[in-house]
Amino acid sequence: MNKLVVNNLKASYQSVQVLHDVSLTLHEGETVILLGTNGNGKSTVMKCIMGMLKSCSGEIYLERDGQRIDLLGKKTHDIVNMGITLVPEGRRLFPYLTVKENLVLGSYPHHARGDVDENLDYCYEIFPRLKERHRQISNTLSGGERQMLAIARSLMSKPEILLIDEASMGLAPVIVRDVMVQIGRLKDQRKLSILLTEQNFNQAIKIADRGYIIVHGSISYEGKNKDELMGNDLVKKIFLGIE
Amino acid sequence: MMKKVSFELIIPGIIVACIGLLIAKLVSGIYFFYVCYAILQMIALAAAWNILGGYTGYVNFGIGGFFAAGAYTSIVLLKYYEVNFLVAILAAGTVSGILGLLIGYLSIRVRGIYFSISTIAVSTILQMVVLNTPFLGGAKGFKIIRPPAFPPFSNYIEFLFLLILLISFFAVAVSRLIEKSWIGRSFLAIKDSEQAAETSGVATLKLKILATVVSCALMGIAGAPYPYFITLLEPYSAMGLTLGTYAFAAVFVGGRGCWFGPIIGAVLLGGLQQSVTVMISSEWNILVVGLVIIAFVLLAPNGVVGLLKGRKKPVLLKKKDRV
Amino acid sequence: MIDVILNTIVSGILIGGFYAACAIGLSISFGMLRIPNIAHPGFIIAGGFLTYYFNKTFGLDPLLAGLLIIPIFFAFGFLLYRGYNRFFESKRDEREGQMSALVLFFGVLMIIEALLSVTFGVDFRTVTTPWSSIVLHFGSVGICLRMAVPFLCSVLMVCILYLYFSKTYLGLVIQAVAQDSMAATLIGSDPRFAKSIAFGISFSTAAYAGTLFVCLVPVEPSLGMQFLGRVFSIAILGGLGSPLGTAVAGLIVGITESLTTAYIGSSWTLAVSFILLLIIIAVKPTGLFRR
Ligand SMILES: Nc1ncnc2c1ncn2[C@@H]1O[C@H](COP(=O)(O)OP(=O)(O)OP(=O)(O)O)[C@@H](O)[C@H]1O
Ligand SMILES: [Mg+2]
Repeated sequence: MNKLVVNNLKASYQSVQVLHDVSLTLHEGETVILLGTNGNGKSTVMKCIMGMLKSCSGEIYLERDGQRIDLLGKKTHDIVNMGITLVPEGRRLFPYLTVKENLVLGSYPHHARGDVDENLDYCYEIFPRLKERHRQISNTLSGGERQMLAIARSLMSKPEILLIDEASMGLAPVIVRDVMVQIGRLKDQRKLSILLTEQNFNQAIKIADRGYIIVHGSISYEGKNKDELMGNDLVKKIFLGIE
Repeated sequence: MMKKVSFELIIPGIIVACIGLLIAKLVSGIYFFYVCYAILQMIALAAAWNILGGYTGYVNFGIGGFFAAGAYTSIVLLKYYEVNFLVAILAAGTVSGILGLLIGYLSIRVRGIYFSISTIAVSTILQMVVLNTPFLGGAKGFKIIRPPAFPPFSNYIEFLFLLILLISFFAVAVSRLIEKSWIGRSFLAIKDSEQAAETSGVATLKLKILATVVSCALMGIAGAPYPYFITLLEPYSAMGLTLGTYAFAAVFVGGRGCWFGPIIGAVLLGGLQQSVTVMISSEWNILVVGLVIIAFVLLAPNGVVGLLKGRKKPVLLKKKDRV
Repeated sequence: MIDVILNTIVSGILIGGFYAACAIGLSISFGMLRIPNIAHPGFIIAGGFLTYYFNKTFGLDPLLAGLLIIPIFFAFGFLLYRGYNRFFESKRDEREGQMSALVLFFGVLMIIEALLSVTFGVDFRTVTTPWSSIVLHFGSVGICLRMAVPFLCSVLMVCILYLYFSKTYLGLVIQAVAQDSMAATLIGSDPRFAKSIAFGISFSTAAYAGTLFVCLVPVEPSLGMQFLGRVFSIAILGGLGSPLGTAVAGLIVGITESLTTAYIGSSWTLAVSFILLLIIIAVKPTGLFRR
């Protein structure tokens, strides 16, 4: 049984502390959502897990076959090579490479290189749009296509744990629904564990198993399942606008 | 403003001139004046370079070109038209200033390495023009015979020494004036972030052009007496990169963006250059200067001035913010 | 008349191919890695002198000697990037870093020139091979192998680099790092490693361009400074970071220079690339072939 554990995570930019004792767990095969409005520290949590922020402390580790592997202090590329990938905020594609080149690059980690073609087919299958446009330079893609490409690129590395920072940002509601449906399918087909940060509660809840709410850099509520989340007052107040 | 100029330029200028005369009277060795001339010329060029490179951050590698433009203007005027030396100096400054205007327009469009490379381009093209123009001496260059000495000087080199002393004083004084005025502060803003400067109301375009024009004009002025100093003015040595390299190396050694940095740098580097040339050879000279430049860029990015001011290092990021 | 023009253009093309080989490394280091390595032509000349040395001492064919010095230059570039990263990229903000780096590499250029003058003297050096003096005739066009062989080697070099950067993992990663370094770490690559490799490649091309240089014409330590303008105008014209663009730009400069030499005068040849450079910078600093 594998899991990713974040324990008492503190993080700061310059001297401003933005995360105060964040703890969360992601079990194998789960989809967990991290909810929070702008500036509450969702992306910061993601960055810490990926080793992209030097100034964080606490515990981040992977439990794999009963062994504990510490992630804190590791380099980003090493973490990716352990099977954890992040779809970063703002997609961060390689703007002057083609769609296909972007995808192929996704399979750079050694454990993924053997199955490039298979993975490529899989990505084209779940996002047929990308197949049509595989020779297009990626900075000419539409926002939705870019998000698809960003997700597909991270799948190319055959991750076990997929972190997605705001899959819905800047997308039309219909497309958000599409992307969410695809993410839901991914989990089933690939036995992925997914940690998803989201502001769009209504969409995210469809695919979530459980969730956390982060307010001002600390976890203020943990919902054990969908119903708990939907029934929660904080959720109602923050995300559904119900007083 | 006028009062300030007279206080900062004219009165100290007269004092410097008097000191220069005194030295010329007291010291009799010719060699001394040669060395001093070389160092003072380096100070003038370094101070001129500093106005653009040190204050605004645009690296000009074409010093040789602007310097030689001044030298050629002055020798053409003096030789063919027999004008007054002062007129030749002013004309030299004007011609180089106009070339500077050209470069200034480039600086509006590009920066960083593009700008630096285009300064090399302008200076090389100037060199080609000289090489291909018989009127300007072509590849053979001008042979110059120094006029006889006139009182109060016992040798013409003493007069040249006084001249370059005043020119380098002028260059340093101008850069100091600029540094201490609102222009200097705007330059700092440009160096920091051009966009931010622009949005906070600094007229970056005009200021950048001003800086280039002043900087290049001063280089031209520094070049004006050079033909009489070197006595053989030809395009390879006058317009090569070497001369200019020493000048900006002096700025890096002394300290950028600070009016007395170039003086310190030029004195140290000039002294080093002279002693290496005398003791070993001129090829080693280039090697040593190269090493000095590298050492300063790596270890003391703010030059001797930075070292003296202690560990205030605004240009370096704090360790934890490094990526 | 037509023959003269034809011959001029052919020699322009041959020279232009060689220019592309000189500029392609700069296109990588400056275009992809944002390292203003103005010492690049200095390393080309150094490569030329090393080839000369191997040729004279061991009697090696220069093209072979060139292959032998590539690993040396690669290792040097690789390590130099480590140092550069340590002193510049990770320490200073970009603007300040670039300015200091510019001056630093200028110092390096001076040192190379001085070291070469001290070790080899300031005379012109060249290598002669059995094929150097062969001239092939195609109708009225005469092609000298002394020029054709470097041209072919350059073409080969450009093709290899093109394939490397568009078809191999590491080549693509180098491009990726150039475009978005943060995203490149997220695909599991180490940008520092990729950049070290790229810088090593850039140096290797300099080494081999130097080899081709001594085969083509006699070299002399101070040629580095003269080549500065040429390699930069070609690299910028070629759109920085694109091997094929660099090749086309090299041909443009080569042909223009050749025509200038034939019809205006050889004393203006050096000005050609600089004038082209000023025009590009004033009109379109991103070059002709930026995709
Ligand atoms: N590089 C940075 N430097 C300084 N402060 C930062 C930096 N990045 C983020 N912050 C601050 O940290 C806090 C948390 O930011 P974070 O990006 O994690 O928020 P978020 O929950 O992802 O918001 P959003 O939904 O808008 O993406 C914010 O107050 C932000 O201003
Ligand atoms: Mg965010």
